[in-house]
Amino acid sequence: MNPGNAESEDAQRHWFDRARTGDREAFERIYRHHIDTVYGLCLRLTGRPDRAEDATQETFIAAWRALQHFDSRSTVGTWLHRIAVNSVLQQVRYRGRRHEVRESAVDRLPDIPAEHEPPLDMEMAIAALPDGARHVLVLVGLYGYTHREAAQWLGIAEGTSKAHLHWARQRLLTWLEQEPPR
Amino acid sequence: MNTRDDERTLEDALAALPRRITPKRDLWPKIASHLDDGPSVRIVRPRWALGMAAGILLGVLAFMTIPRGYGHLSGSIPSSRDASLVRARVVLLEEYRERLSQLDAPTRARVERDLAMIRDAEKDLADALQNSPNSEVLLRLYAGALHQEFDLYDTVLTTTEINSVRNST
Repeated sequence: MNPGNAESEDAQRHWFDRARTGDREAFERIYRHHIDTVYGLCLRLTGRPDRAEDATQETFIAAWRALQHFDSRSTVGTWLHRIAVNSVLQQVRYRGRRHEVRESAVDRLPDIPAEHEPPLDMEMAIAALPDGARHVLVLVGLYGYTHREAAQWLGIAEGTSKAHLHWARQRLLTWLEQEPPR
Repeated sequence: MNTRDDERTLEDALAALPRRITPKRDLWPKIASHLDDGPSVRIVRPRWALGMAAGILLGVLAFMTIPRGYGHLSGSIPSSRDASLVRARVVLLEEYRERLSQLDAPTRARVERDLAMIRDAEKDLADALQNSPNSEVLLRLYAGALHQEFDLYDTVLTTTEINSVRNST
């Protein structure tokens, strides 16, 4: 997994070291370099642009405050993604009961007969997954992180991560058996 | 389609989704304005959808805890909390209808059919509650149907927003 665009990791480290000294312009450069992957990850994890924007902003603010704690064994992109996951999880806790209501409501969505159904948008299918399954699907299935990484970031057991991914894939496969993606 | 083909189709569909997505607006100015804040600062902005959901939840909980008639469905005078629920539904429904046109025709037809099924269930449950207004089971079922309705709106709004972001990048 190598988030970010063509600028080398060495160049990123250069700007990162300058940002550590309090250089805001250097930090903005890091922001410009990583914003699309961080926002993309947040959008996939939350399923909502407004929440993704909030989580993205909180990610970079948290990153600025945590620059001194950066683990040099990680890439800047992976480090930012980890913070982004934490920001999204904080949002989920913040939403509290609303989150529980949504999950239970999704589980109650009516079963769809297999024949003669119109296509279901893949985005809608992923957005409709319960939070836990969607988070693992996004991190492992889309962004290529390992179950170990996903489990660590999400605060769950590795086995739970695998179970979430299996469940999410089965749910999507059930939909796909009915509807080919557009 | 066999299982292997399904798996392949799923992998292809997931692989086709963009990983890099540019937000609709530049988030940097707001981030920069918070860089000197204390550690407890959290970005909060008005979210009509979340506020509405909270109102809806209050309305639903009121149904479950204060047995009474179902004015917004039967046409009798609603309480202030019922009125809030009705207003939230009207606003959300308007937004939903506007966004529905952005979906392709087959998906739109399917969503409309699902909504019709949910509405039928709500009507049946409301009718049943007219005869048994204190039935906790019916109240919970009715609350569940309402949540299904609002979650359907929410899913349509979310999907069209995501598609909009994708199309603009």
